[in-house]
Amino acid sequence: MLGYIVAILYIISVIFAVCTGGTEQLSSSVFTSVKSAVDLVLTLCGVMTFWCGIINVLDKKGIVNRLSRLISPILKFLFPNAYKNGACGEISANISANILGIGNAATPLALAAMSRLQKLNGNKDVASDDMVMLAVLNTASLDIFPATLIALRQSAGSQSPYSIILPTVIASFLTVVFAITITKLFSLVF
Amino acid sequence: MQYVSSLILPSILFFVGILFLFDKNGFEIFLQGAKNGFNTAISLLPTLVLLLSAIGMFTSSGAVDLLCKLLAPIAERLAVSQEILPLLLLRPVSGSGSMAMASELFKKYTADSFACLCACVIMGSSDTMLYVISVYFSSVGIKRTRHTLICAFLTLIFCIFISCFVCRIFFT
Repeated sequence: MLGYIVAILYIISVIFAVCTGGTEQLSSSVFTSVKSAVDLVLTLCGVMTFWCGIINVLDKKGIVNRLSRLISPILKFLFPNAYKNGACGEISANISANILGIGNAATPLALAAMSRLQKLNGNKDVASDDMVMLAVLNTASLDIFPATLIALRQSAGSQSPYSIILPTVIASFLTVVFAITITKLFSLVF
Repeated sequence: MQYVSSLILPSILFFVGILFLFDKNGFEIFLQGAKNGFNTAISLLPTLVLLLSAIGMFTSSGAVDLLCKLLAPIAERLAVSQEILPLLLLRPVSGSGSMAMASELFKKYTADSFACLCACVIMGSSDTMLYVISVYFSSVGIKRTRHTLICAFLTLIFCIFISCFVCRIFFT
């Protein structure tokens, strides 16, 4: 899947750069983005090492399980297979981190959830329904407090930096409902 | 609200500290999980190098500008402000890129303009789709992602549309 996306982006970019005479820019952008990929992984390394350690502690002490019991009706509907096998711990932690806006904790938790779901997966090359649901849910942000954007608005001299909170919550909620509906429907077809 | 959310992380860490104090194995358990996290993060590098190079080339080639011109009539149909089209194209592929673009829009049209309010709501209710999908699936070695991409894409389109709609109700 990713192979096709990269192929399309490469081909379009090269054709464009040749037509507009920006080939030099194109070549230099490759090296800067490769460097930024390494930076990103280094940042992720720190965050992931830290959070996966913390989560392992909380998990082994049964705290994650208690958390998932709180939202179990939702989990049962969204992730039926994981729920049946009692593998919802990381998923509920990921959802909580998203809602609370601890963005840098959400990715490690989601990856931990993915590896847990992969253990339950029959065919290791093909995504399971639960995996698709987790990924799509994470592409729709559940964040109820867009802190970075508010800070950005404040620094840009907005009269009411907080005015976006309620519309964002409403739009997020509707988007998530849409995402869940469409993923459930498509999982019947694909 | 901001204060409450800034307390979440410290309270988790306080709790973990107490656990460490009363449990001799706590440290071992932490290290075990931490090692897994580190390995997962490292294993993402090849995917990210490939993906980010493609995105970097795409944004620097000027293709984005042409796409904006092509999409302008469609955006008008859907009542989406044309000013935010470049942001919408960057949103699914780059988190920091779209944040920088939002900041530029604030400077150009002022933070309280309708287009910028729409931009904020869209940013707040979506995430970097391509990054999320590629990182999640490559970390466990999944090759076929089935309906993930189409669902995520449709969700983004819906998100853009509904965000502008909600903004029109709130701000006009």
